[in-house]
Amino acid sequence: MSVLDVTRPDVVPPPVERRLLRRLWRHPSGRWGLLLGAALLLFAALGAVWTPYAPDVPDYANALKGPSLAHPFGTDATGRDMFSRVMNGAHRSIGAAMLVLAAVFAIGLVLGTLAGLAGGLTDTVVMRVADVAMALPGLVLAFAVLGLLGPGFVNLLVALIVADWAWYARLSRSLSLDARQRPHVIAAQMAGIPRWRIVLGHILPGVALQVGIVATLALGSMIGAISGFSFLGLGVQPPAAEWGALLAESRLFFALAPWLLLAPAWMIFLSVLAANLVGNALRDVASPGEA
Amino acid sequence: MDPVLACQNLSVTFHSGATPVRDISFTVAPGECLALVGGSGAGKSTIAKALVGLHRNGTKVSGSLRLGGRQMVGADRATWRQVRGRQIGFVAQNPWASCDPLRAVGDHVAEAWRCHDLTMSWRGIAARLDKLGVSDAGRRIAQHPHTWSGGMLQRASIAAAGALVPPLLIADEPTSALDADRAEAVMTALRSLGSAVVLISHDIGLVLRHADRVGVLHDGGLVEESTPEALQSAPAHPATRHLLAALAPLPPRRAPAPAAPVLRMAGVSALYDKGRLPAVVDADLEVVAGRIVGVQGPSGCGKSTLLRLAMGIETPTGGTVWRDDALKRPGAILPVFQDPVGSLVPHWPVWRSVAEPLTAPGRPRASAAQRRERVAAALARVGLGGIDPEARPSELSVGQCQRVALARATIAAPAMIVADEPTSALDSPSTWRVSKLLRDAAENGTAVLVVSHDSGFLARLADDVVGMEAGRTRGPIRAAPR
Repeated sequence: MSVLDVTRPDVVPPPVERRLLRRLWRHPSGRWGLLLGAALLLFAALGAVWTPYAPDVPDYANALKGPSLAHPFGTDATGRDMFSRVMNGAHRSIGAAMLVLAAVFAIGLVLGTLAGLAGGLTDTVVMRVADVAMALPGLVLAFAVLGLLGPGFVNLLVALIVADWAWYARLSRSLSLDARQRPHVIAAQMAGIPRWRIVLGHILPGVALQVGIVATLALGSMIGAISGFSFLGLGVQPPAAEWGALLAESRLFFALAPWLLLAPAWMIFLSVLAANLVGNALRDVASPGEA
Repeated sequence: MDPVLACQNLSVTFHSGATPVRDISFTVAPGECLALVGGSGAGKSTIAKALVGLHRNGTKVSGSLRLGGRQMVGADRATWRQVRGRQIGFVAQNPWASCDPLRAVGDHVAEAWRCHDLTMSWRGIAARLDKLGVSDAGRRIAQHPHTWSGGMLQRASIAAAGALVPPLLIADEPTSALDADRAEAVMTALRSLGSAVVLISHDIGLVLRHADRVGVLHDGGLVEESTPEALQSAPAHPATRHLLAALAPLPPRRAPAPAAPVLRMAGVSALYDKGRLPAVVDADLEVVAGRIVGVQGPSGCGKSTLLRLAMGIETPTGGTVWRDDALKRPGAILPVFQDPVGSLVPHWPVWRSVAEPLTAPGRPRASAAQRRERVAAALARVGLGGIDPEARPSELSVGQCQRVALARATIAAPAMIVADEPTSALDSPSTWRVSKLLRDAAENGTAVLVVSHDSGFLARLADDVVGMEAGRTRGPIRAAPR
């Protein structure tokens, strides 16, 4: 029985990188996404505290100047430095998108998992409310909430959360229903592990990872949505800078100063790109069996 | 006579630079069955794909591959399309995966003619299926694949592969999705066409029974080639000996000491949907400490439900389940499942999954260091002392995962282990090891309840075997003396 002796140790598999961030870094698109995302976050953080010029103070003598060394992105109709405004607006655009996604992720994860695991009345109530939220197209629902609350940045965020949470709740519910049936969950039940520990240790991490990947992939469209609402004047109110709002302002002077549109448009494009690169890489490295 | 297939120094190089198949040479004479056998990672599937030209553009196939005198290395897609079906037929592993669920089985078989602009009447197709042992073929070919059993559907695949009477059939694990009893019938059907067969399989027992010559693959190379008899009597390569060892009987069973039953089910029923769906009807079962009880029956006969009733995660709608006091504390019954990878927490290091039963409330508290020590001992017992306890399940093989699951099931000294098809996802050496470990658990006084469709596996492993059919148990089929 030398060959099959059960106590004969197996060959040791080669070490594998297990930390998610490192694996993301090794993924080609993940690395570029992380670098780009880090650069954008740094840019946004810096823009919140310091800009080369005051972003909100008009300087009528220098209105609608083209790009130059002093004003790399030019100046707008009231002479405000466009670079400073793009920089100052970054934390609103990126921060708001991340805030909304963090909120819908958390609300959806908690409500969806609760509905899936508790079942019964809780499930019925949560899911029927979610059905109502999902029955209305997201933008229409957001418009309706903004109509009730009035335009404004905080109200915009609330509107987007109301419009989006139900999708994440549905996803979390079906993932947790599936996870509840997994053999490792049944094994833990049989071992006498209390319910709350099974939920926190076995079910939630797996569901959160899957839902988190979906949320990361949605970051791009969320930045677009926030910019879109600000473009329509329903989000950030003047004179505060935000990329969508900057696009809306610049649009009026398109014939005179077309470069004004380019800067915020590029920033939106780059942040959508970074989010999608990271989201795609995350989906690749986190999928089980891929190791 | 000229060989139908002659491989000379065949190598396959992936785009990544890996060469899963290196310098393989063999020939197949008309009507002969050559089996290529090997463990996982030996390069079996890569060869199968190379033989039918299914590798994608990034993969380089080099050497020589002569099919009926025609050189196929470097052949373009149009040439391969001409050859497939006429010169070479292919039978894939999973018959359901090779069928479109929305089309009738007859359509699938007819496709073999249609793709070469030929026609075949359904009556003709039915006759072919009939010859392969599909009963009532004329009526059944109009049905959809999901209404067919795996064994029958695999015969339909064989009929399609042999439609144009190619001189050579390639069969890649044709029976691994099937029950053991059906596998034999499918192999007989495969040989009955009279074509030469290249059979690719991990199942050395099957190969020895059905092949004329056997080649052993190991690590991408052909390490030994011989007749089944010669291979069995004088295996030359360690890889061959490793494969053959899985056929060895388990070491003789120490007679179980007489002991009292720990679980007794009498007249137990589980009816779903207000009695319209009986899963288990009037079942009787007795499990004794230190003995292995097997429940044997075909898929869908209610075995798994019976197991869940025994575990207590389902309540019967009728009858009584009596459990000994030893089975009433939490953690006294621990399960082993059919899906080894899914039975471990995917985002946990394996040591944490193994240690989990130790952390249940009511158990003596153990420090993290003590737990790790006990995990190390438990992993060593199942032969996994060499793996990194920090490894995630996805880094281990399926067989290793099942042994980790066994380490978890035994670490907290349960009174009973229940196992649901514990070996159906495993290759023969892993099956042997898992059987041995279940046997060890019983010899240490644990009651073991195993359900399986595989009569051979249960005959080797269990002390008593109970049959089950359509939800009803049929007395002990076989019982060891007490």
